[in-house]
Amino acid sequence: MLKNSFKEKININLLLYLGIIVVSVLILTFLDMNKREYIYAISIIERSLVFAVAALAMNMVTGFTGLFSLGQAGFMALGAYTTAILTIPVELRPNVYYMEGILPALENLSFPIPIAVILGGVVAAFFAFLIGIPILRLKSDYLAIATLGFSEIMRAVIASHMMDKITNGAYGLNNIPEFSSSIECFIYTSICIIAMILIINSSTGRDFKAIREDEIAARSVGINIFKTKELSFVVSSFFTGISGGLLAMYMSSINSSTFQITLTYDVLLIVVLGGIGSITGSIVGAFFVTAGKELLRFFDEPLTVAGVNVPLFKPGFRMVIFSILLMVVVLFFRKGLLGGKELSLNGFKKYSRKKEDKGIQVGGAS
Amino acid sequence: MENILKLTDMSIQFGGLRAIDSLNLEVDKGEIVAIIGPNGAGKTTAFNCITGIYTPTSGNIEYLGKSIIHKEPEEITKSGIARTFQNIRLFKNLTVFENVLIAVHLRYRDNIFTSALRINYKQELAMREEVKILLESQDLYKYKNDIASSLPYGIQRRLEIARALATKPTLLLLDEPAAGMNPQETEDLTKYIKSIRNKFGLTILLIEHHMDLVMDISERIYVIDFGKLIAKGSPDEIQNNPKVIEAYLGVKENA
Amino acid sequence: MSTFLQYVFTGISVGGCYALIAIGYTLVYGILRLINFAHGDIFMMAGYFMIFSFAVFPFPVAIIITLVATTALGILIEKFAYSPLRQAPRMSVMISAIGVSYLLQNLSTYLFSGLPQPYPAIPGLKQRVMLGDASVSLVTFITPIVTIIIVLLLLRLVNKTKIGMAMRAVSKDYEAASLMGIKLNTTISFTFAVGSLLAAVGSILYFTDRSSVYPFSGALPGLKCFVAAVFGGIGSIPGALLGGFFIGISETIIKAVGLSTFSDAFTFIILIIMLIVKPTGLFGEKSVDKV
Repeated sequence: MLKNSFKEKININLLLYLGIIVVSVLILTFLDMNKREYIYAISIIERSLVFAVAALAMNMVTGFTGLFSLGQAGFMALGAYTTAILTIPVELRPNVYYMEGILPALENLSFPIPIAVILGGVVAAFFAFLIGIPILRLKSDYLAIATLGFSEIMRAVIASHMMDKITNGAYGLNNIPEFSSSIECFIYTSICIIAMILIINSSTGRDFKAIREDEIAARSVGINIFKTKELSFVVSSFFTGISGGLLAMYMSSINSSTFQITLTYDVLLIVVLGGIGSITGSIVGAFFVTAGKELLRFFDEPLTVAGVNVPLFKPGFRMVIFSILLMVVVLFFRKGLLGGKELSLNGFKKYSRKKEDKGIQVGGAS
Repeated sequence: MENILKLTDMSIQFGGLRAIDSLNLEVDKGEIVAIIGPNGAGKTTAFNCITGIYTPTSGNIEYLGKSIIHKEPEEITKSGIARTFQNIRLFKNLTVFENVLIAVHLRYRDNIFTSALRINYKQELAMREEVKILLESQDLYKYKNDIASSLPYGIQRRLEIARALATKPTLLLLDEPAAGMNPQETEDLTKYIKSIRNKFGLTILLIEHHMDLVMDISERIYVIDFGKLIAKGSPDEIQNNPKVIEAYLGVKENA
Repeated sequence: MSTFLQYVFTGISVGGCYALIAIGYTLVYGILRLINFAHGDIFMMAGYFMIFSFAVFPFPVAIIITLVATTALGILIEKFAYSPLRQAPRMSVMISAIGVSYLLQNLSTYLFSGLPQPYPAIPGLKQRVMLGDASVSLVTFITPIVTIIIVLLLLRLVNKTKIGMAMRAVSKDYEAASLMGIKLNTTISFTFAVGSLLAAVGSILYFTDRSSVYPFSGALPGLKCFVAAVFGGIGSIPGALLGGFFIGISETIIKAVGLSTFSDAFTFIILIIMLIVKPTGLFGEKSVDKV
């Protein structure tokens, strides 16, 4: 009986996810076919998808494993630069590296986009592995500042003259191939998202949660907390790196100032608004924040009503709104705007099963 | 009798404080042994040494004839020593089922790829089946979907024991299992501890302040005061030991 | 030789400012176990307070207004953003701190625009003095002196006064202290007030040398000063002083050898090395987790 209910649970959620994917593909195909008309919407959707990957990756390490990591911008930078260097069309490279030239070894090194993006993730994961060894032994708040520091170090290294022939130093990289269609972006991001959901809901994901809940108890049931933390950190950074690569494709040109601490804060904003430790929250949050920032853009334009300037409307207003929203959520809705609920049909199922149980109990008593 | 756990001259020092001073202790297979002593005597510290949370400053700890003194807590659990904690350490925001399921993991081989891609789907089912059986046997199955922190105190204690049992231990360490329980609950717990000992073939070492429970349940008792062993013996011997009465029971009886 | 001297003085001067900010981190961390991510932005806001008050009032009044306003800001932030989260998990409080930092940065961008605003020249401070061949502004000398005087006063406050004793008690054991009748909220507010006041003093000295303020000018100095506090041993005032000078001087040296791009990264390399080698810092105390 248990076997059946477990299987059923999986099947029913699978159906739900498949449904969402089919609907999304249909919508995106429609948008792609009318690209001219919907270019703005497509751009918002692509950006949201990329940030959903970054946010979910951050949530994996922060919300599910309880490690407060603020290195997102650094890992995204690693992924973005790797992807960019490996995918900028070879014939355009002399133009991109017009100042110092390109390292001969990289001159003709080119990979298909999916492989380059994955390599971006691998590079980020590798760095995470290395720095994880010392810093994951630290207490959570030191971990936050150490990862933040790592992110800044990465940015400084990327922008430095020594890296000119690889990262083009302060000039940044451009001519990065863009997504050919929103479907392409959707395929990459949804694979990442599904992979992360599978990990979080696996036995490995349960070990992550055990560490979040109580490290000493986790050790007492035989979990190697250091290995597991390292695993979570590396896997999260892998997907963060991929999201960086996708961001590079979305933006088509990047430089070191793209990856400032603000980028980490942007991802954190999504995670917190969506709910720390909520998968659905991170995905919905990514759309909410990205679309919200765009829709609120008009607040940033000076507004004149009947010849009078409305005083509130000027550049920066929408970010103030988001900052206040963040504070409100942190202070009053600690589980995020969705209240920590996950999208699944189990909610309905649980409800109906409870009813059933009651029925059986009554039956048994009589 | 086969010796399961043996502490030889074990001492641990925190700064200037010698929390445990040359403790010698033995536990034989199948026994229920209690450690008693006033608050701050070093009982929990001894548990923390045995389970690898602290490393003793000197002396040795042998488990099944092998020294475990430099092993990490998780390795010690894997080798067959499980424990509960004085102030209950559950995975508070997870369900009862998940709490126990996590403790089953250590006996199954798994990695992130096989688990994420559900390649070892059968294994996951086996783990769940095992948890179900354990929860049912402990009368906890009805709480399986409840969040651990939402349970009544007594149930939380039992869940913590169930979680320890899920690691299939040989030796179970219980740190004040009856803390905060009324006489009736304590009596139930006494029966319960005996029953799991018989059912799972366990050896049990426990710390407890409820003297009724200790005297009823344990075959041998160690008394610690100020980090030093002051007496050991059967419940009868301990009850009549003047040193113990002076250090511990005397105070209790007058109160 | 003269350039070398100039660098030494600059280093000491920057270090003094860092020390003043680092003390704010150390005090707050000591008492709440919280990295006050907003501290750097309080420092930045102090810069704006000075700019606007200086435009209206004579400089001594402007300085007083800046000090008072910054102190008030620090207390307000604690009241609204941190005190409601006393029982919350540590991560929530940290996120709240980041939220405040985010808010202050965005708010100042909105109110004062993202462009750098010129910092007023406070009479006397900017004066150049010749030291051998080197020309150094007066503030370079004043900073370390002011810093050391303040630290001595602060140590006296913490070690000799009643409120100082309360601060030490709360940082040792939060719950026990409140059971002993120490007013927790007052003590915490006072700690934030002192930290913010020092940040305001630091900001006057720092921005006088920098000549302009923009919404993000607190972010990086803030992080560096936290590193300084960690380096010296978080919770220790002399540690923060030493850490501040160490970071300030070594940063200046790195710039002097022509590695400017790495001067910020260097701070974090120090942090990571320190956390690996001696996580408690130079003067920090070891804490044992109770199981």
